[in-house]
Amino acid sequence: MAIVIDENLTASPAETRLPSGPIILRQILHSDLGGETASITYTLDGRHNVCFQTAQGQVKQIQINGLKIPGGANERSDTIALVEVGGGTDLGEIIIKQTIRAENNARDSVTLAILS
Amino acid sequence: MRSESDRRRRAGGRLARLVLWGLLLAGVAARGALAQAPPPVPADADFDVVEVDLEGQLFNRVLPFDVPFILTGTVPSGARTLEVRCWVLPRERGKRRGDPAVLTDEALKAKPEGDCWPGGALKWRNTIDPQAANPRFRLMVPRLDAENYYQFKFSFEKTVTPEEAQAFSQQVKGIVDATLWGDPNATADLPLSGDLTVDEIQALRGKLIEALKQVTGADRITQPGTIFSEDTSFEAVRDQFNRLLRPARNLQGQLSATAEEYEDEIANLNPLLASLRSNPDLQRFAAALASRAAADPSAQDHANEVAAALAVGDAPVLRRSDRTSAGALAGFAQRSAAYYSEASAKMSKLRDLLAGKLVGDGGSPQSFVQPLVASGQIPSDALARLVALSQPTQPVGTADRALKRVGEDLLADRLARLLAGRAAAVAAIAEAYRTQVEGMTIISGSTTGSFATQSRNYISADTGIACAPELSDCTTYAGTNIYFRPINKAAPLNQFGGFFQTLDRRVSVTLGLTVQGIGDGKTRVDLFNQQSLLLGLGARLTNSVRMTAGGLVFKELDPNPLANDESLTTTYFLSLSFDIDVVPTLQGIGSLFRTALPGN
Repeated sequence: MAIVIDENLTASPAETRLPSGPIILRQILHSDLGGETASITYTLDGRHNVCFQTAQGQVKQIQINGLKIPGGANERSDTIALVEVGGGTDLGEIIIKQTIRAENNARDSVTLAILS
Repeated sequence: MRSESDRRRRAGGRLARLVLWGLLLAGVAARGALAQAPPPVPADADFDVVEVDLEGQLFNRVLPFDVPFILTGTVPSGARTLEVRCWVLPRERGKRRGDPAVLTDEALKAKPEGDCWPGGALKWRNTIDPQAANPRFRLMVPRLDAENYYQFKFSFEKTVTPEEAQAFSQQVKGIVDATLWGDPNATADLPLSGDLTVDEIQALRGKLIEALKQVTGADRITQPGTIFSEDTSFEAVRDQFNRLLRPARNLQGQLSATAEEYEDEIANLNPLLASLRSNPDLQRFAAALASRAAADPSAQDHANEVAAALAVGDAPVLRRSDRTSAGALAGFAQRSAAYYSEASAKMSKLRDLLAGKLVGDGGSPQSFVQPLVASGQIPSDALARLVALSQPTQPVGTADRALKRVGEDLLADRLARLLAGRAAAVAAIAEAYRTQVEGMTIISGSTTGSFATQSRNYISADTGIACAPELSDCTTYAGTNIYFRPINKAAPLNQFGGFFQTLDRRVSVTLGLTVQGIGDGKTRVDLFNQQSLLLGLGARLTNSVRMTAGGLVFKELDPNPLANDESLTTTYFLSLSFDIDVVPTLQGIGSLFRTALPGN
């Protein structure tokens, strides 16, 4: 089972201050098996002090399991929020890496501008 | 006895004249050196004029001292203003070593407005036509000190031309492309896809500023509010800069993810292809079809299809060298396209053959397979396994999908789209900065090396009246004055302070000869024929009037009228003298020679 990314990940808004409001990550993909189950992981670099803000707290990684990816091109979205932990960040841009695990490991990312 | 004495006196007189005119000529020559150095002074000015070549960073002459002078030259078209700054070089620099020395950038920055004169930079505004070809500037430069070395900096304000903006845009493209992609010597994990720190953004900004300076020859970018102006704080332009960079960085992150995904795919695909090549059912099927083809030509095509699929080699591996630049990655995708096209077509035919052409709807072998099954070359269970191989999740089906997915979706579509998008994003940055810098105000600079002011005007010539009270006689004389420092007679003394503050500019040693003799034929005779020597110390009262005191050297006659004895003696004198104007002196120099030379 394998996932094909038809259109890369986008973020809306693509520039934000910290802590951010809701950021919607969108992507169009399909399964070349006509449909399959996948898990999606969003990851932030562990070396800086920006985290995802979730109901469970501030984390560096968000995993979404059991997603049904259809055979036809399909837009899906996830909503995240970013927050600084501790002092101010010296980051100008921050990258959110995505891994979609199914038969293959499809990879994508989106870069956000951190406004001063 | 007297006639012998007279002859000696006449010979001495000739010598005396030679000495006198030698002294005069020395004085005149010193003045002459000053007179010859300056270029022709415009009719409307009494100032010295110094021409500067901004491109060659040279002056056309030694700089005058103690007097203001006019500095002139041409500035590039488009220059709106010109500023001149000047720094005094330490004496030991350049002079003692004998080679020109200039101040370091740090030293220049320590005194950004220079230190040759108060009030900072001299400024010229182009009020004629900024677009005129090579407009000339004229600036009055305050007086400089003698025997000094100076460094000048000429800064002209101009605007960035469309051609310069275009050239800069090309530089931006190269810088942004290379910097964002990353240094292959520093990491194999390219393109860079990590977070971008503020420091990294500032470093990139620094590179762009340097590039703009290089393209335009600018020293400083003064346009406020742009990322190129060093006066603009980074915080003020950070967001603007970030917004411009983000699209390229975003696409680059996705390129990196795609490259990683490709490596993941290949890590699975190549072992899968290897397992297919060694699959015993497929090998047996290929051999059976090949033997059957001799008897049944209809089996030949299928034999070829199976053989071709089993001959598919490993997929190209993305190497470090393929990731060194966007161009290298694009080249890899291009080179790999033929492999994927061919491999995918072959695997697809094998999958079609296995899935739909081996058995009929009822499960019975197709006609070309039937003999192989009947002869036991392909057992029934092997035939079932061959059919199963073509299922989407089985080896042939999986390989077929992977080759399509990687060749078409990943390389031909996604990677190509991302590379093109990144190139467009980089080009958009370059274009944005092209339009931003065109017409921008910049300060271009040109720095001269070490230039000296004159240092040899120690001697002047003058003439006056010397009175010796003890002789109760006055006589005219001509002499030279040797100063203890360079003197520019064109500089009014009062501009340097009071009498005692300017003693070093006033005091000189005087060496002269009387023009008329002081001898009376009874008690004294002149030292040389009809000239006697004056040695004294004088001081200028005004620029051209000098008072001197010293000794008058002549010969005393023996009071005994029968004796011819002469003895050297001196008496004090006081004199009032005036500088000999250079021009009349030069005009009369011919006649002086005529009378001075022996035999005349």
